[in-house]
Amino acid sequence: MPLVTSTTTEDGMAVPTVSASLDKAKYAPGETMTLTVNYSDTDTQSVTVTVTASDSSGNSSNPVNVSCVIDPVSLSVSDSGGRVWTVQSDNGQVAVLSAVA
Amino acid sequence: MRVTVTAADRSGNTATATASATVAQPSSLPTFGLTATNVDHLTAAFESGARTMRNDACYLGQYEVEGSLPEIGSTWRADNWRDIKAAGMEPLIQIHLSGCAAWAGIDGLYHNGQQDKQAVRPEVVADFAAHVVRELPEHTYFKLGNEMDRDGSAAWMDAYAAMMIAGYDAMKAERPDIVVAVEGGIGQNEVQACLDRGVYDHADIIDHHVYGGGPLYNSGDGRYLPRKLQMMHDAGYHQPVIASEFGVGPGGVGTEGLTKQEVADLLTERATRLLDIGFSTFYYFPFTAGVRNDALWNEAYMVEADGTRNPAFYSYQNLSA
Repeated sequence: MPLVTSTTTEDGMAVPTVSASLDKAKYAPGETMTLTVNYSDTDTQSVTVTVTASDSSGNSSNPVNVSCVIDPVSLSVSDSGGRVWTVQSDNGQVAVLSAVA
Repeated sequence: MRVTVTAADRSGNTATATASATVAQPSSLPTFGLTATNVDHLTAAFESGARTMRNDACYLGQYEVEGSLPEIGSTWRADNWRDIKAAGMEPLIQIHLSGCAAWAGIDGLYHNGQQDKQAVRPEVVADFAAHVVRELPEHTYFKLGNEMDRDGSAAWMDAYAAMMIAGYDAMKAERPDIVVAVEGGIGQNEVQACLDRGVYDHADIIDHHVYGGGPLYNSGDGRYLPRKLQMMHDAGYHQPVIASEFGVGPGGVGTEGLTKQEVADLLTERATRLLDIGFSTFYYFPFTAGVRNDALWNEAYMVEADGTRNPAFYSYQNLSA
């Protein structure tokens, strides 16, 4: 089950890293294959902006939070057999996908 | 099977990773599938079927050239095919590209001047190959091209790789359920050229034609078969390996001058060696006398034209037991 990682770069920005592994080296036809992908990008940051409105009388609103992700990483998967891989879970660092052998 | 994962951020940076595993082929993939019972009933059908299969694969392209498509593959659906399947055997449909070349016009690349070894535009191969698998829904196993990876020039291998990749991708897009064999390289240079060009990322089965004392035993021209298989294994490719053409006839060392028993012994020796290095499936050629008139092949037949079984038949049968 070889693992190969390669990257391309854009000036000034971090390069994502990714690794992939299958849960088995051999599958029978019809068996479920599970692919685990670990990925990251040092530029990726979760940012939460908190906004509070105040008037001159000293009254303040309840704070409102707005969140976003800077430079998020997206994944795409293909295989030599043309199978469809379905995402089972993805927490932004580890994605688990499955397909039928 | 090779999975490629690409991670991309919003800045345009990307990273890729791959993981490979072997997916076993369905149990219907024949392994020495000719039993005595099958041969009793199907010897003639098998041979004529095999020849019809190949001729039709070429002929389909000719239909396209003419702009008419009268009942494509009618002969493929003849009862002999159904009998073969009923007996537990699966035909391997070889898709020749000669008709395809005539259909599209050639690009000027030839291999030894042979009609079925011309390079055509990849998109034409894709259209043709997809057309064949669409029109033959009852067949599952296909082979793309015939002995085309036999010229190590960069220009030819570029053209060859483009054709195979385009053809495979189109066939699988048309019918993801099918199993597609691609040739495994006549020599080590060709294997490396295919590795460099990603050809084996687009192949479910790796196929070799193994005759006589040829590619397996002859180390000349980098053809030593175990080393070629090792190259692919080291590169991470573990597809099943078959011999869609296997025989003890010509191929460096023919069978002329041998007795039928010596031919039978030779068959056992060579098939056993192939099994040892990982081959799983064999399509013997020539099976029945009369398929080829070349005197060099005569001693290699398993069965005479009148149905008499030669010792080679029993060698084959014992290997399949």
